[in-house]
Amino acid sequence: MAQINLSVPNCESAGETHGRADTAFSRLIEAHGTLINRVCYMYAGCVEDFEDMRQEVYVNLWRGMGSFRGESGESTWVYRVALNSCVSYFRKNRHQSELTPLSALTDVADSGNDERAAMLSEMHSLINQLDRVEKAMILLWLDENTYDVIAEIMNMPRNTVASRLRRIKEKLVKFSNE
Amino acid sequence: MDIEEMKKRFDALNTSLESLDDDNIRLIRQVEEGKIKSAQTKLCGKYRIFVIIGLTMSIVMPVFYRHIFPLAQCIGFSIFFLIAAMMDLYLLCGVRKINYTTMGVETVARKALFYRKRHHLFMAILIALCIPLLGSLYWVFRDDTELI
Repeated sequence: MAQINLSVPNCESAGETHGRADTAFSRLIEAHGTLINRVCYMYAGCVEDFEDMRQEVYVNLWRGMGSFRGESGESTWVYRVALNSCVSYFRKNRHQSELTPLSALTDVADSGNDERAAMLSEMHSLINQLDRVEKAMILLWLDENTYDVIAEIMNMPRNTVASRLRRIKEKLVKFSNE
Repeated sequence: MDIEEMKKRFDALNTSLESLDDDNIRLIRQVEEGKIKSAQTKLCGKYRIFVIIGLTMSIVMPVFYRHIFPLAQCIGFSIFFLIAAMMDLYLLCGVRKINYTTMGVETVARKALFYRKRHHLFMAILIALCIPLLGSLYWVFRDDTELI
């Protein structure tokens, strides 16, 4: 995992590197961008929601960088901020015709791979049937985080995490069999 | 689909979303330059403005509109604006305390939903209070066709 110094949140750009500003924040996003995209994708209902949520996560990370003291791992901290930004996001009122389906996000990478795109869409719609907190827990588990890390991010006792995850998995199997 | 299959599909998601990082640079720059505010900041800003408007109107109504409206209506509107200001202040204090970097996800989700429901409840109460107030104003000026 890339180690990034977060103690100077407003450090000036040291210059362009491969077309990207070399700031602590941009390095943080580069190291954990995929994680953020994954979380936002699973919570979004359309591309517009995804972009709003991602923007929200970036702003909250930027605001919180100065207060990060390294008590937890960096990716744990980023996960907490990303999930908190998404669970507290409430969709703006938009006309149905203004919404772009979420599949457009994965179409570029999956062009020609309709099977993978369909699998992702199915997984998304299954997980979408969970409530916001359950979604956060299953996302953390699917990303192979330990129960201790999940308990830290969710601020729950470890035993509660274990029992709730068991119920969430049973729910998902039930949804998928319906 | 079983859980193991779901894990494989989740891993496949990484590959599918990789290309989205290519257009990040503009967004990163905008965030660093402070051009984008978080939804929490914008919401607190709105509540702050409405607290100020509510408190101002609760003072302005009985002081400057006493010669236009009857005393009872002036006091009624003053109390209405004071209640609205207190509600907005309550929501402002609550929403401001939500800390995305230190609070657990369940806590944030619970608080966000709680204050959202309170917001809608307060709106319903204010609308319910406003209707009899406007009705009483109409009753007082019912004979003044020009004003109506």
